[in-house]
Amino acid sequence: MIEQLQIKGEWRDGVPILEIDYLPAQMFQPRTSQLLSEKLISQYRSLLAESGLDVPPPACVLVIKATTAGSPLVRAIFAVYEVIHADSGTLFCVNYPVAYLESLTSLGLTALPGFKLMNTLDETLEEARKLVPPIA
Amino acid sequence: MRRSTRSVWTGLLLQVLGSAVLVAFQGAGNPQVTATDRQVQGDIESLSSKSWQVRVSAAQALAKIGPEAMQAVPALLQSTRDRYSSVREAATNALGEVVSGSTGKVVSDTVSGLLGRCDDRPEVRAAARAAILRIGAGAAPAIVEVLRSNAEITSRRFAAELLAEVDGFTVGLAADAAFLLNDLDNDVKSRSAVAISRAVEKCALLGPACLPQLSAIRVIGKAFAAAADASLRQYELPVDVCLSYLEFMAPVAAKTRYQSIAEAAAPYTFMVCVVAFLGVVVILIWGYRTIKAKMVIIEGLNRENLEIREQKTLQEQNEIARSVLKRFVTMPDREQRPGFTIAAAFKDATAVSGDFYNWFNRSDGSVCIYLVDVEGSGIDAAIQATHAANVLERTLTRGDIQKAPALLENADHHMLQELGQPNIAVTMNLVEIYPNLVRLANAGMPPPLLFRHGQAQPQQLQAAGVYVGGGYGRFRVEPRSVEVSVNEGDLLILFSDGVLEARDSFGGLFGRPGIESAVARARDDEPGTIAKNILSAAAASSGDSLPADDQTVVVVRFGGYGPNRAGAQTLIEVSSDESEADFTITNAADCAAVCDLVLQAAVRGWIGKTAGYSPGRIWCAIWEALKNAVSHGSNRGEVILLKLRRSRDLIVVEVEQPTEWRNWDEFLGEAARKRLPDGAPRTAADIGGTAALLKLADTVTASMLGRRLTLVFKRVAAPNEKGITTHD
Repeated sequence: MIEQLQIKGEWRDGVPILEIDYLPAQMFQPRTSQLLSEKLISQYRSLLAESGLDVPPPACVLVIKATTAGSPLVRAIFAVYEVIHADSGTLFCVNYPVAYLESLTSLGLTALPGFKLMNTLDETLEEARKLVPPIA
Repeated sequence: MRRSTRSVWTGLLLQVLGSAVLVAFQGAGNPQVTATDRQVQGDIESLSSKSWQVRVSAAQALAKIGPEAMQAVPALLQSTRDRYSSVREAATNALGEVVSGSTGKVVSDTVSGLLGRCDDRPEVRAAARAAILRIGAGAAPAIVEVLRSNAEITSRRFAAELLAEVDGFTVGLAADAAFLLNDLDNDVKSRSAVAISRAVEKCALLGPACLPQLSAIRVIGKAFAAAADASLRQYELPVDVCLSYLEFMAPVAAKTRYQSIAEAAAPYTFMVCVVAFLGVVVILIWGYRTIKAKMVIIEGLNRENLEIREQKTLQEQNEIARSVLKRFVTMPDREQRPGFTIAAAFKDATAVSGDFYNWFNRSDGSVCIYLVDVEGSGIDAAIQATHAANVLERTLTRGDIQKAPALLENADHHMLQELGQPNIAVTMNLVEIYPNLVRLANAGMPPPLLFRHGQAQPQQLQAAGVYVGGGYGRFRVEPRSVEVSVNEGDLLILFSDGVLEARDSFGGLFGRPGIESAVARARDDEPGTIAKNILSAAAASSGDSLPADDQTVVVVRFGGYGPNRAGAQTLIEVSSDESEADFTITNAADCAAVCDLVLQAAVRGWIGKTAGYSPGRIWCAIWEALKNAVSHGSNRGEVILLKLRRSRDLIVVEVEQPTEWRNWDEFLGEAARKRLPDGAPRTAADIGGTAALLKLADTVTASMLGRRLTLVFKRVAAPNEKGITTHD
């Protein structure tokens, strides 16, 4: 059984990957969006800090492992997107729960420049690698 | 010590003598400086004294001197800004006396000084009014100037008011002040209209001698006609009348340049008389209507005052009645006995209506509850209720175990014996409670409801009887009783007629359905919560903070009162057919998971039967509404209702939560919808549960004080389908 909320981060092929998982009850909690936003941004910043890169990466992948979603998650994704987009990066969102996709699209996130909705992590990494400059 | 005191006195004496010599020398050297001048000079200096009493005295002294103290005007004007209102008032009075009858710059300085900053103390404002009126005719142009140049609103209103009172506000000046009829402030506008209208009326009284003012009155007439404010029309009437008269007289006066106006007007005397007569009639009608309107207002105010006084007396009487009841009548909150728990809730009416209840334990382990309603309201009902409570407490708790009907007869007998023939009826429910049995005798109260475990519809416990005190001993009455066996989980609800008869804003009764609905929402809660829930629901239905009649609810739960609420599991009850589906969802820890798995499947299945709707869109909206109802609109264990309705072109979703959401309009109203961007969000504020609802549903409204959210989804037309409205 997973904890109420889990957020992990790792680097793969020069791309920072954030992974989020939670129980459905998380979506019915007050202040969830704020909690998710803070934790995701904090995880992303610690990934950047440990990488020692001079410039922020041009892409970031957010993998959603939970099976439920809703406005709190959409708001958290938007908060991460704002941070990444401010550095001219692209946010790839992978595995957004299909049953709740309408909440993401209706709130207009898919219309944001620098935001891409993806199906699998492999194809996302392939796309993201195209944006990462080759290591000299 | 003594030496130093002496030296101080000597110093003071020398100083006084020195001053006297200096003054005498100055006076002698300048013969034009009079004693009054010297006094004025001294008073001017005293106006700067550190002591406010000295400053007041100086201003009063200057007032007594009057116009001869003209040189003190700047200092007095300065003193009208003093931090002490007494000094300001004295200085203002003095200005009135000193400047009285003057003209020119000193008047305009004084008036603009007095009106420039409207004092916040009424006595100082009153002094300013008196001072300006005392100044006389010279003040009028200065007031108009203040109105032209001063932007401070209270000063402007004050000045406009003074215009109507001050002498010298002539028609010529009124024509200059006609710009005020278009003032942005309504008060300034209407007060100026009164003043201008009066100036014209005064002029009209002069008759043909008013002719030289014809052009000024024409200007005023045009200004009234051009004023956009319709409320000014009433002041326009005298101007119109005067203008008609003068317009008629003008050619007459021109023709008879060398004759008296009376001679010239001779051929027209009849017409002049007719016009004058009509003018007088119009003015009289106008005056009568104005006075009548004022009388109506005064009558209304008097009536209002009377009502307030009566209301206050009624409130005081109610307070006394409440304190009487609270002091002498015991109404316990809760009782837990082996096999059952009793709890009660009570709500005062606007006027005390004589509800009370009590219960007592008996030696066989049973409890006897009595719920009483004394007819009437106010102090009489409170006193009668106190007597009845006293008699009942003594007779019902005598110790010998008696069945409810016999207890009722006893109560009637003792009430008749001790209180005599009562003027008011006492209705009562008397119930014996055993762990597995209820025995009820009823004397005119609404029949109690028994909710069997697992059943939504209650059973009414009917036991018709005559009200107590009506004289069971005088004529033969056999109170009936009803006995029912009860099991664990059953609920017995006793209530007074005040609960049943609570009315909503459309006049609909709260009634039995209201009680059933309130019980359904808190079915597994402890009895006290159920009782409070019923009263809250009745209050929410009527929208009144205080009911019209006392409301009492007593709840008995048989057996324990359910599982630990924190561990309550989500229970989704479904009732569904082609056109509608109802779901009852209990707020619990696993609520989100169960809704995601069970409810989502049920909802999607129900929607999926008709083409033209997006189940994903509707489910996401329901999910957001449920998230709101679970996290903000209900507590653990409370029930949320979800209703789906389908017509040909619409699916309507209702989500009903127990808690009110009064400011829903702020988040879901038209303004909130307009704030949302069409495409991508601009800020985090554009994303949220309510924003999602507005984006997902075609319309979102709330009702029942925000407890019910209604989402409407329109059917999307299939290609080539006719008769269906397409939408984006």
